[in-house]
Parts: sequence; structure tokens; C-alpha cells
Amino acid sequence: MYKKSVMIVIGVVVAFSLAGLAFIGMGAKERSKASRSDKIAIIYIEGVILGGRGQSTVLMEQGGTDQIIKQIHQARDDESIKAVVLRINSPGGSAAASQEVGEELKKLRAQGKVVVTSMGDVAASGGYWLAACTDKIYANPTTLTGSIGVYMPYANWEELYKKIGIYQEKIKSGPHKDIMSPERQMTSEERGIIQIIVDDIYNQFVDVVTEGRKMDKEQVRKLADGRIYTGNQAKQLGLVDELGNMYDAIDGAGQLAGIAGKPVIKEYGKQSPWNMLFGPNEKISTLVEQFLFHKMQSELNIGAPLEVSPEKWQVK
Amino acid sequence: MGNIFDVLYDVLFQPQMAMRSIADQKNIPQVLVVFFLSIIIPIWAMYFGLQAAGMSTMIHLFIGIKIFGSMVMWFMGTAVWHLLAEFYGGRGTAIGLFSTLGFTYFPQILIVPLWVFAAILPVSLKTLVMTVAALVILGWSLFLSITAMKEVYQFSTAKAVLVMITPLLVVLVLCTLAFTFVGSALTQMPMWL
Repeated sequence: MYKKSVMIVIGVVVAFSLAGLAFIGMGAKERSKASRSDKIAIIYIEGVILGGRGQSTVLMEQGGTDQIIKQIHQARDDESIKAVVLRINSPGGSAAASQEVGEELKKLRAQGKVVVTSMGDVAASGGYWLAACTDKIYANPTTLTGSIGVYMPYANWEELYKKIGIYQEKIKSGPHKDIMSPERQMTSEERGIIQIIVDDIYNQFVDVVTEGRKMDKEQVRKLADGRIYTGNQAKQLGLVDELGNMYDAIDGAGQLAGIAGKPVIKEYGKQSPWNMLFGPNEKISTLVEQFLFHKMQSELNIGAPLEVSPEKWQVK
Repeated sequence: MGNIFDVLYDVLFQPQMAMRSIADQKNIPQVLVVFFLSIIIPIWAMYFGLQAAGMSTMIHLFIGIKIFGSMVMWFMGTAVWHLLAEFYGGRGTAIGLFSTLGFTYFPQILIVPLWVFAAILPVSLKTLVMTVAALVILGWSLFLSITAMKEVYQFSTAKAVLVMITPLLVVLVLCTLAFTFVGSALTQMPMWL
């Protein structure tokens, strides 16, 4: 009888414990469900903005706007993500690549997600194009931004080629097929063609800023002479909404998305140990180095005969 | 020894006597009920824990592994240990060992109240208490297995422990031999790889 009583007590304790665990489990499930439904995604835009898949290795791809667009799509499809913070640290890049990402950001906003920009050291030119496509822009007072404009680099190596005895024969299908070739002077007609293209891209850039910042077009044109601004100046001119760092931007995004309490952060493109071991090597370490490298590449650009368009189209 | 309550009480508090009696009676239906209760109740607790941790997709996998693993361990363990016990000169039956080993899972039920106790503790103590609880239960089950081996085959504690760890020792020796052979084969290979 004594043994039976002891075992019944043990049985009751176990049964109550199971009920307790079920209760604790349900509470934790509710909490985790609540936390899962209020996330802020961080997408990093770093370095020169270029289209394509970037650098590829056997195991992964890195860089290139295709990856950024993929991350934007993932954030769009994830119902738990209420807002996206775009952390921009870029001196600019290709107009088409910037436009492509900018359009995806607009679609993301159209789906009801809040998109906020946090500018790092530099968010100029193409970097600003992307920022203009977001709901709110945060910059540090010393961030370099602006540089709203377009340029197409062209180097004339004609004299050098003559000195070293190089003469290139060309069989062209049309008079402008080798436009911007480095081994001859550009004609005034060709200059006019390129100027029209540059103006067209510039106008598109101005339209993006006008629409995104809800500013007067003429006011944007005055600011968009290609100069750079500090974050402080940009705030006074209306190109930036708030001065603050990435955490201020996260808080701001949380408020805009109506997230109560501390938001859960989900970082995209985070460097994993796998990535560090097998990912592509980042040889150009600083943004200044990237900028110089990019510029040097453009200056040394030698036109390829099969190119349909010039190799580099920089938003600057 | 009478009803199931008396048997379970004795398994927890008078294990030597209980194991001797279980081995004699060989009450297989009773053993099966105790074994499955001892497996299902902790699994139920684990289900709530995994659900709380947001690992709902892995619940079925964990439960499957736990049930299948426990049954394999019970059947295969009985077969291997019985063979080894006979090699070591033991005089017992495989059914007797099978019955007693089924009851060695019973202390696992007690992990449920211990987990509830751990769950209400501060976060810093929670993991420690849960780990200690799991280790205590594991040690208890191991102690019951050794007791079962002693009572079924009339072994001394040292011999029972030896029978229990022999499969582990064999695996260790095989692994060491395999590594040695593979290692020596690799060092003999020409260096043009």
C-alpha cells in the first residue's frame, strides 16, 4: 500500500509536470511567434555598384547587383520582415545597375514594406540614386553624399599610339560604330550623340530624386551639378531626412513600420565562416581605393570592337 | 513483489531485488508497457520543448530517432550483452535480460519534473540544471543496467561493468586499428598526390 501511494504521488508529479511543460511551451511559442512577425532586414550596398553576378567561386557568388536584388526579393517574400534598412557605403557605379536596384526598392515599398537608408562613409552618385528610392534617409553629419550627375569617361590615346607605331585598321558597319574609340579624336557630331545620352541618363536621375524626395524638379537640378555634399549639408538641402547612424535608422524603420519594442534584426549577406574561407578575396579594401581603382579602369578603357555600347557608364 | 506499482517502486528504490524478481517473472506485456511509457512521456516533454524553441519542423525527426533508437538499443543491446555474458561465464536467459533492460528506461520519466524545475530557474542556471538532470538520469539508467546484468547472470559488479563496456571497447579497438592501417597506408603512398 505504501509503495502504491509513493508511485501514485510520483505519477501525479509527472502528470502535473507535463501539463506545466505544455503551458510553458505554449507561452514560449506565442512569444517566438510574436518575435518572428516583427523583423527588420538589413541589406548592405558596399563598393562600386555594378550589374551582374559579381565574383563567383565554386561555392558562392558575391558582389554585383544580382545578389542585392535576390536579397530584396527574399525580404519581400518573408512575411515576418516589416521593414528594410539599406546600409549604403558606395561611391556609385553603373547607371543601369543603380536603376535596376532602385526599381526593385520601389516595388518593395509598393508591397507595403518600409525601406529606410542608412548612409555610411560614402553614399554618392549611384549610391544616392538608391537612397532616393527609399522612404527615409539617415546620414552621418560627415557622410559624403550627393554627386548627382552622369559622366562618361573617354581617353584619347591617339598621340601615344602614333609615337609607339600602332595603327588600328577598322572595317565599320556604320560611321558611329567605333564611337569613343581611344585611338582617334571624337568628332563634334559624336560628341553631340554622347552628350544627348548623358543628358538623358541625367534627366532620369533627376526624375528619381524629384519623385523620391518629393522636391521641385528645378530645385533638384540646381543641386544636381555633380558636386558632393556632407551629410550635414545634405540635410539642410533636403537631400537627407535625419542625421544619425545605422542604429538610429533601424529605430526609425521600426517606428515607421509600427514595430513595438526592440525589433528583431535579420542581416542579409552576412559574412559566414564558410564565406570567409571559400568566398572571393576582397583585394580592394577601402572605398577610396575602390574609387581610385574604378576611375583608373575607366581612364585606361580601350574600346572593344564588338561592344554595342561603351564599356563604362558611370553615374557621377 | 505484486502489482506494477510495487515493481516500479522497487526498480527506483530497491533495484537489486526488483531486477532479480523481473528476471524470474519475465512478464513481457508488463515490460512493454513500462518501456513505452518510459519512452513516450519524456518524448512528450521534448515535443513541448522543441515547439517552444521554434524547432517544430524537426520534432518528427527527433521523435522518430528517439523511439527507433531506444528500441534498437533495447533489442540489439539484449542480443549483444547476452552473448558476451555467456562468453564471460554467465548463467542467465536472454528473455530475463530483455525484461530487466526494459525497466532500466523507467527513471527517464523523472526527467520531466526536473525539466519543469529547470524551466522556472534563471537563464544562467537553466542549462546547467538541465544538463545535470540529464546526466543524473543517464547515470541512474546505467546503474540499473549494471544491476540487471548482475542479477540476471549472477555476476560481480566488476564483471557486469566489463560486459557492459565490452562492445564499446571493441569499437574503440577497431577504430584504432582502422586509423593505424589507413594512416600507415597513406604514409606509404608516393608524394605526388
